[in-house]
Amino acid sequence: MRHSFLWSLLPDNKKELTGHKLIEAMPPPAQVILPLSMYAGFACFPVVSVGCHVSMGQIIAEPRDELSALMHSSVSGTVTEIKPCPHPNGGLSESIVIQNDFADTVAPQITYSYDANLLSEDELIDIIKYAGIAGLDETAYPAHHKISSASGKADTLIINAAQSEPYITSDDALAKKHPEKVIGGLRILMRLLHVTKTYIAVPRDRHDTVSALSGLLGSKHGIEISRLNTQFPHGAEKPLIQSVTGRQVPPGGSALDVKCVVFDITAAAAIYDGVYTGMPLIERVVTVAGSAVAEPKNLLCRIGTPLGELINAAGGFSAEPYKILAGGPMTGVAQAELSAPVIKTTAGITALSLADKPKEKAQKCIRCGRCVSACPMKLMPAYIHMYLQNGSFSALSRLNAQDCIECGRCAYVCPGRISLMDSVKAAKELIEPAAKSREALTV
Amino acid sequence: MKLEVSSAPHLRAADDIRSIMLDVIISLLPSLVASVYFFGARAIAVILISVIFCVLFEFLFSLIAKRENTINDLSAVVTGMLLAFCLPASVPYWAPVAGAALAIIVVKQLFGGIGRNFLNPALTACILLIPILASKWTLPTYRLSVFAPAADTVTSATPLEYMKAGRLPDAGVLDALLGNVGGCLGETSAILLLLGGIYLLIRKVIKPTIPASFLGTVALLAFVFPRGNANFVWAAYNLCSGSVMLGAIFMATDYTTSPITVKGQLIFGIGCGLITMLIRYFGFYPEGVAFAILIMNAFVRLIDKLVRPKRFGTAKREIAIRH
Repeated sequence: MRHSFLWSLLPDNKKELTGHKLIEAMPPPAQVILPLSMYAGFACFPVVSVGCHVSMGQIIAEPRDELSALMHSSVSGTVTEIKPCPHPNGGLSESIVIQNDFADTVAPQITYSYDANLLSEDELIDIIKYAGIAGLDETAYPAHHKISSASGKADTLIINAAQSEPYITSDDALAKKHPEKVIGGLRILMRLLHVTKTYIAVPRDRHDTVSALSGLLGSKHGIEISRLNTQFPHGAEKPLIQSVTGRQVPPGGSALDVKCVVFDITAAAAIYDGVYTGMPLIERVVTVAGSAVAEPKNLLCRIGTPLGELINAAGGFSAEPYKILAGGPMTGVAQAELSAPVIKTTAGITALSLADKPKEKAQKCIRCGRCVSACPMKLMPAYIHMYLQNGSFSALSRLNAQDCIECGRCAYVCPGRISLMDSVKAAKELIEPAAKSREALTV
Repeated sequence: MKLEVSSAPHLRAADDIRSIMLDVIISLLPSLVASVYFFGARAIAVILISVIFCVLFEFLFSLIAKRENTINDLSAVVTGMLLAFCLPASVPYWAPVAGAALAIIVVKQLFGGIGRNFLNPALTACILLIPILASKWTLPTYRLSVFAPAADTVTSATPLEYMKAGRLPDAGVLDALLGNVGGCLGETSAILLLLGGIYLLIRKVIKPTIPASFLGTVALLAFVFPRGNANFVWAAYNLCSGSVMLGAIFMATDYTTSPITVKGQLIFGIGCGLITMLIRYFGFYPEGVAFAILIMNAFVRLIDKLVRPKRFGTAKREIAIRH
């Protein structure tokens, strides 16, 4: 990476817990909970009602705006309730609850598979739109919208295999087990985006992932494997683009401002599945790991599976968990209980034991500057914190807190144990209040 | 099953304030042993008094001011050791006590405690003690027992005093490097101070920026303006004599009183080196390190305001095209 993190501490990878394990398919749950706000835009509105029978892959909700997409049932069964249920990002959110009849009846329209080469670009985009595929890293930005808005403006496609969160190896496991899906999805994207250069960004130490993928690429392909230094958060979009292409996304901008499009491995594989099997995105690989999990593993599970069932499938707890996170330990969301479901952006579930609990509680800034070294976006978290505490808001506004990508490295390295992420997030809110709430609308 | 719900990130690096302070203490131990070797048992008495009273004053202040007791973070111990290193072995025993009070109560706690002081506590206390001690400030060149009376020693001129007059000192460069010269407790053995510095670099407690720019500026200026002596030898003497090693590695790198960005630290280090040499050449005192560091300390808040990392996405040489 361009900027040196030499003097900053990095979280342990911990990928060795699940890195070498193959994906296990989890038996489908008795009940799935599908939150209506699963995408970057407004909550979808349901097109089924309580009592309806649904098949696997059937459309159950439709988007209200461009930044959302279709939602499908991940099991066949009956809609039992449409009510607020726990959401993995916190709080309650209107969801469709479906009781599984375990028949796995596939929806009638999903019966045949396509060959991508026989389809036109518009048809491909339609299929991707129908399949409800979104960026499966954090923001669930619908794939078809990303592709249409990037068409003609992007010259570089980056497939993100970095997945920098500690413990989580779901993208890696998928790439090693089904490299043909990843490469197939990649080729479809290359065709739709008309890019001149394509990269697969893989961390330097994942040799088996690289060999699995490059084995399928052949010799002349225009696809370059870009090796990244494993420095969290190398998988976040802005640092990733800088590592791979050297371009820096301007403040307040997006990847498209530097003519790049980024898709993660799971989304690329889902695009392949959507086109070649007709099946929309109804299942994904989730890494269940952490110091409190008995048998850490990668599980292929249905979207909507409650978190507790995944932990049971991973052998339950080996130690008393003090925190359970939807996501990884750096950016994941702490759960109050285990009934929230897996959604499309859930790459992992991490259960931390008391051994991982930070011991020092007092918060003191000693101005050591580790947060400044650690920040990938060149911010000064210590000063943001100080000005926030002092109420010096005009000085605060000059510190560019809105550039923060919320990776959490500042708080990780702080020896004074200051909740720097909270301070920077609060500063962001002061400078640029959230434009709209995703949960806002009712039917 | 009771789950904690708090915000990301959920892991923390193992380093905390206490472990960092412990690393600094460890890095100072070789020099501590050397000071006892060169100056005798009185050295250890001065050091112990300094450390004990620093911790005591911090504890007492927290009681009286009804603030949280912070002696467990070991920062008072570090201040005590550094304060002792600034003093000669021949000081009267009330000097480290007074120094501890000045450093901990006045400079550190009255300004808000750890992380809030704007001057280096140990250095400020030392500077304040010099005029108070006045004629009792002598720099012994041999070992003193614990019961030796203060300042009852006859000393020969230290290397710095020779250099003030523009001459090369009697003692060889090797003596200055190893510590076989007169001086304050912590300033004699340059090589052991360097060793401590390397330990701190390996443990990622300090970045090399400040020591390198400070020492580099001193070396460069000494080399370019050798006052009639051989360039290399003069530069070597300037680096190994006096408290420039102690200052560059342990005092100037104090987190609270140095800039938070690398560019800022470079400016800070160069400024310290420059002022040190100005005082050594043109000032009243033979040693300028303490004053140089304190003067630059006063500029740190300004440096941090003016020197910011370049905003991500604003670099001119990158391709950043808006459509």
